[in-house]
Amino acid sequence: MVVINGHPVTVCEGETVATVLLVVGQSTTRISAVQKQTRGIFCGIGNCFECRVTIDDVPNVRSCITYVEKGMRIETGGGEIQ
Amino acid sequence: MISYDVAVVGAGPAGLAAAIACSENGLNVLLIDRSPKPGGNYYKSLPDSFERRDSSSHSRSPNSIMVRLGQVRLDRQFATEVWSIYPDEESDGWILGLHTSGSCRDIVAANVVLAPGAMERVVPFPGWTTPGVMTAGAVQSFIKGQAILPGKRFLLAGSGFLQLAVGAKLLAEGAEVVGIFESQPLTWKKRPPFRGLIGQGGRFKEALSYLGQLVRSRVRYRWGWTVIQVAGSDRLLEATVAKLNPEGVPILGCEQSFAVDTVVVGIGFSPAIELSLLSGVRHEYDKTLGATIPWRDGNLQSSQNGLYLAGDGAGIGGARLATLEGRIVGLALVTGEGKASAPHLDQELDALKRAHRREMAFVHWMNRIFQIPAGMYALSQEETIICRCEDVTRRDIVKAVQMGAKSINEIKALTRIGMGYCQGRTCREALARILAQETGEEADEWVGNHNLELFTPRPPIYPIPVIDFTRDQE
Repeated sequence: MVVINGHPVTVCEGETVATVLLVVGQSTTRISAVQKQTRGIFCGIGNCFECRVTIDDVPNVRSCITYVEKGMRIETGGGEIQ
Repeated sequence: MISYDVAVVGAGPAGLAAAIACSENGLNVLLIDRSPKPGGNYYKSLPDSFERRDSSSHSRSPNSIMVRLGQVRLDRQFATEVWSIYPDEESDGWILGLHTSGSCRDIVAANVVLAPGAMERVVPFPGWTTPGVMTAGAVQSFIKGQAILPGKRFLLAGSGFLQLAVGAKLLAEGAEVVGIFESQPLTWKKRPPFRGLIGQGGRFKEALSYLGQLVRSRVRYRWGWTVIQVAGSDRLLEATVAKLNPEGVPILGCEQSFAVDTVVVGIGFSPAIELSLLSGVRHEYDKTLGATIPWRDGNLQSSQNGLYLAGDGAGIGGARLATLEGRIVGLALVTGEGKASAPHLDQELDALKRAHRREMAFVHWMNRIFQIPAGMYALSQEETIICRCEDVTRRDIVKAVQMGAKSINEIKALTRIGMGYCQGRTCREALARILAQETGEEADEWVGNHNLELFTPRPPIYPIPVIDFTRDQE
């Protein structure tokens, strides 16, 4: 069980945070620095940093290469400066 | 500091082959990878905790190499990124800075094998930053590594073998695919040279099986077309494709639009050279590939002693070549270190190098037929974002050029392009080619001067929270 933007979500061990976001239909991972555009998963392998979310109050974590853990609190839509 | 005979950076096909070859012959090896599991992006398999489903053909059951990995004795440092590399004056080896979530440490290695793999190349176009636009590699990662389709209704518009493979896989998994658009035109000029076909039967069978899937699914499949715009939001996207002229410029009047939730882009790969650049070894511009690669000698050693490179991190050649290169590097290291001098190793090394030359004929052909036409870098409009991290537009770049900027480092200083989290990985290539277009230069000649197409390398090559530096892993 993890919490995404305040909502509890059941997850499987071995899933990445990016996968779980896709499953619940959360396409926006972050808001861009200057133009405040919504961004989502792009390269999927940890190079582009578009998939950044805040996990357990730590910002800018790449969701595509981070695996879910019990009790994780995930927040999307963060901007550049937290 | 802990010390090794060899540190291998990257546990994909090349890194695994190198690490195994070194371990088998008695060297003390550290294998490092960013993922918690070895295999890289090629040998991606479902987590052990997932219910097993039938495995895909492209990942080619990783059993033999993974089994071998389990049999040899080596140290592993997974879920770890290498953020710096320095020559170690004391030992004449190399110091690598390692970062595992929460802490950092350094290791020393007499030799380093860099096998970091490649990055997917994408040409910026209006709307490419919209959520739902993602690379073929991303789609493949989700399917192979997580058993999930990242959308329901797909349009593929890119270039290269991966697009075809991913398209076929999506169809096989029951996804809706409105069309697959390959930006390269299909012409007689693209036929393979006879030499390039030797030993490649398996590959062509694979390609035919993908084409068979496309035919069975009756999906729209066009050559010489690409995506020129994506509009919409909340995964309700409208993707517009157009036919391209031979220079890669869209032909007006033939545009078609499709409603989808996912647009799969990606026009090829370029080596991840951040670490190799930081190490200071010599690089050169590969005109066929259209990318900067590290220079290597016959043993795949760089211009500096004790630093070797293998796989897609040194030039784009795919998994088979990467595996060959990894083993060549491993055996070259082993015989070089004098740990095992045996005629059978020298014989194997010679055989591997012959196989490497044969494979290069095919690889060279593939890179040639999928060369990116310069016209595609004109797809971006004034307001199109080029640097996704810092929201720098094409207009910002043009203004910087008007102010006198002549290199990408100068444009970086004026606009912040390349200063964001990805450190220019995503935008560097497009920036260099846009700069060439804006200054009216003949792109390849000009881009080939590597001082103009590379950002000055500085550590860390990945953003690391400062607090992690204060927590040493001993």
